[in-house]
Amino acid sequence: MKRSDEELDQQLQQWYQQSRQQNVMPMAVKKQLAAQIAATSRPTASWQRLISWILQLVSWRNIQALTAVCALGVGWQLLQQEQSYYQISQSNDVYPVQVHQFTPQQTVATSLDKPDSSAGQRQALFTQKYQDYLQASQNSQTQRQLIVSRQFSEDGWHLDVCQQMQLQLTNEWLAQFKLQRQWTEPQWQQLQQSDWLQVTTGAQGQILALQRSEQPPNCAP
Amino acid sequence: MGWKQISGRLGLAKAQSQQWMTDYQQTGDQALLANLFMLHADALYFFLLRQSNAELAADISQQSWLKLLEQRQQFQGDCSFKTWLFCLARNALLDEFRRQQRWGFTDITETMLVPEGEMNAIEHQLSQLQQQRQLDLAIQQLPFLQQETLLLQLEGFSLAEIAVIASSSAETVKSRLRYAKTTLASLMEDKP
Repeated sequence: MKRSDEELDQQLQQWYQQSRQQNVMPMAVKKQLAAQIAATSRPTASWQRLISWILQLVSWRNIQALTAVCALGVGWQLLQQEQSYYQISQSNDVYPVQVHQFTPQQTVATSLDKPDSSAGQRQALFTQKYQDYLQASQNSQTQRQLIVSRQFSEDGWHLDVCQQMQLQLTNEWLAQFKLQRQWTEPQWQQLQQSDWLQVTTGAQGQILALQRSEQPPNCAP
Repeated sequence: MGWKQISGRLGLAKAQSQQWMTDYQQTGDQALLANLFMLHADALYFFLLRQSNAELAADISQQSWLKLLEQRQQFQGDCSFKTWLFCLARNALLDEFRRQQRWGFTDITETMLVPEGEMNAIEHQLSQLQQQRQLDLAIQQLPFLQQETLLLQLEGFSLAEIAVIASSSAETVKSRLRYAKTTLASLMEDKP
């Protein structure tokens, strides 16, 4: 017996509704994606949009020029906007928890003699901090690498260091890190998909690099 | 639920999505993006799942939503938000197929992928299964473009919208639907 077109259409509709209900996006994927969107969709400052635009224009051959432009962009941000500052705060729960975040520079700048510091002082502060950063990045003796397991949370990533310490990276920190390291979207997605990460930290515990790790953390029994 | 109710709800959802997306373009308010995500994430995931696998569907969903976020200023409103979203996802899926060399870009549109000799075996297998399962299996036998067109129609897209998503003409879409349904009817015929 041949089915009529109408009968087939009805069956198809029933099949579709039933099948779609049985195959919704897994909650874990939804949560991960929501966290990723939150991390990526922070409102960007004008200089960040400028750099993003420049990134699209510049080819690999001009990477050195691009680096210089980005450095200028970071300097300009620190000098003109004073938006944020890398801060690590630590608290002790069952084990130490370090929160890596960007905080308004004003809270850090209170230690300066004059709160209404001039452009010259800001220039000096930026130069000093940038030199510190470069030194920390280049001096391999002060660097430390560790493998961590990563979990997603609403406010960012939680990196567990063998259940002895936890590093919490806020969504804002992740967004800034991604931007400053010029991660492309595919590279970032690869990083998102890995359960284990290799973290490179500097002398003050600041995170200098994040990479995928094929190996799980090597925790002593 | 009757067709009028379904199409009424679809129309409301379409208008609401359009408004959310326009507001999101202007404000960058994450709550609006969250609304869009909640409304369309499952439909998009299912569309991708039927044509790939769970891992790839999750991956392409992820890529599509992030692409939407990055390219939100490119949404012009000349098609519905959902059409635009599915366009992004389809392009990402085809890029992935190209990367995996899964789809050779030969004209598989109007031809059956299943050789005639294997049809009897499939039909025999189908007769053993429940109706829904039969239909599920039969749909899997459809060539990619026919299956895609059918899924989009069942999701509620118009012929014109499917044409936009699939980068084809409305006539081609109609033709794919006709082939798809003829094939399904043939596979679903009851045995004496």
